[in-house]
Amino acid sequence: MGPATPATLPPRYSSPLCYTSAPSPILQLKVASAVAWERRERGGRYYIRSRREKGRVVREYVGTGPFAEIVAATDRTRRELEKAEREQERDRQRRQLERLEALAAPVEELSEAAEVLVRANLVDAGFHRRKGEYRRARGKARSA
Amino acid sequence: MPEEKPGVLELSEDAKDRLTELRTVSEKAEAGDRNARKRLRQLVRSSSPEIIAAASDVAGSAAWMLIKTISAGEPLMQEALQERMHQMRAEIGGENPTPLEILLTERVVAGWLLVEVLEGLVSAQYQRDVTAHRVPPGHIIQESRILESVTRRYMAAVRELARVRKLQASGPASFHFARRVYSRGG
Repeated sequence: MGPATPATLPPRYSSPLCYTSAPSPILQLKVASAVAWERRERGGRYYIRSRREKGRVVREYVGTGPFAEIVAATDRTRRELEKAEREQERDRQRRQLERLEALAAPVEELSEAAEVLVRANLVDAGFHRRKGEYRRARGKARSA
Repeated sequence: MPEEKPGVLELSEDAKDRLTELRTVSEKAEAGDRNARKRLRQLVRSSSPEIIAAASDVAGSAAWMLIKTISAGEPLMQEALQERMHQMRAEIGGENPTPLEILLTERVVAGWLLVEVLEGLVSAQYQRDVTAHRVPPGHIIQESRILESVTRRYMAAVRELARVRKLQASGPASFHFARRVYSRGG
C-alpha cells in the first residue's frame, strides 16, 4: 500500500496541512507562512493563505479558479524574491566578515613574528620566562 | 567599503621557516639545552635582520591597505592618515630606536590603525537605513569577536614594547641586543 494522500485519507485529515497542531515554534512559523490549495468535499480547489496575527494563525480564503491561480503565482514569486534577498544579505554579511579577517591577517602575522623575535632575542640575552615575565637567569649574564 | 582585494601581505616562506626554527630553538634554549643556546645565538644574528626587514615590509603593506580602506579613496584623508602614522612612529619609537623597537613600534601603529578601521566598519553596520534588513545577532557576535581579538593584540603589542624597553634599560649594556646585533646593517 502506497503512502497516504489527501484523497485516500479520511475526511477529517483531507487537508494537506494541519494548522492547529503544529508542535514546534519553527514548524508553527513554517505553517504560518504556508500557502496552500485545499480540496473541499463538494469539489474544486481553493487557494488559502495563512498568516500569523497576535500569535495565532489566521487563514484567509482567497478564491478558486484562474484568479486564485494568478494570486498563488504572485505569492510564490514574492516568496522567492524574499528568499533571494535573504540569501543576498547573508552573502553580504559573509563577505563582510571575510573582509574584516583579511584586514586583520597581516597585522596578526606581524604580531606573531614580533613575538618570536622578541622571545629569541631575550632568551639569547640570558633572560628566561617565569610566570609570564622575563627575568635574567642568575649567573648567566654574558658580555657581548 | 572598497571592494579591492588586498595584495600580497604575507611573510615569505623562507621568513616563516626561519621564524619556526627560531621559536623551536628558543623553547629548547629556555629549557636549558646548551647546544640550543649556541644555535639560538647564531640564528638571532643570521636571521633576525632579514625577518625584521620582511616583517616591516608586511607592516608597511598592511598599513597602506588599512589607510586605503578607511580613506575610501580620498587622497586628502590618505595623506592625513599617513602623516598621523608617521608622527606616531616617531613618537612611539623615540630617539635612536633599536631595529627590534622599530618592529615593535610598527606593530603598535599597525594595530592601532586596524582597531580604528574595524571599529569604523563595525559601527557602520548600525548606521544603515532602518528599512534595511536587520543584522542577525550571530553576525554581530562574529564581528565583535574579530574586533576583540584585534584589540587584545594591540594591547599586547603596547605591553611588549614597554617590556622590551624596561628590560633593555634595566639590563647590562650588553643587553642592547638589537642594536648590537643589527648595527652592521646600519
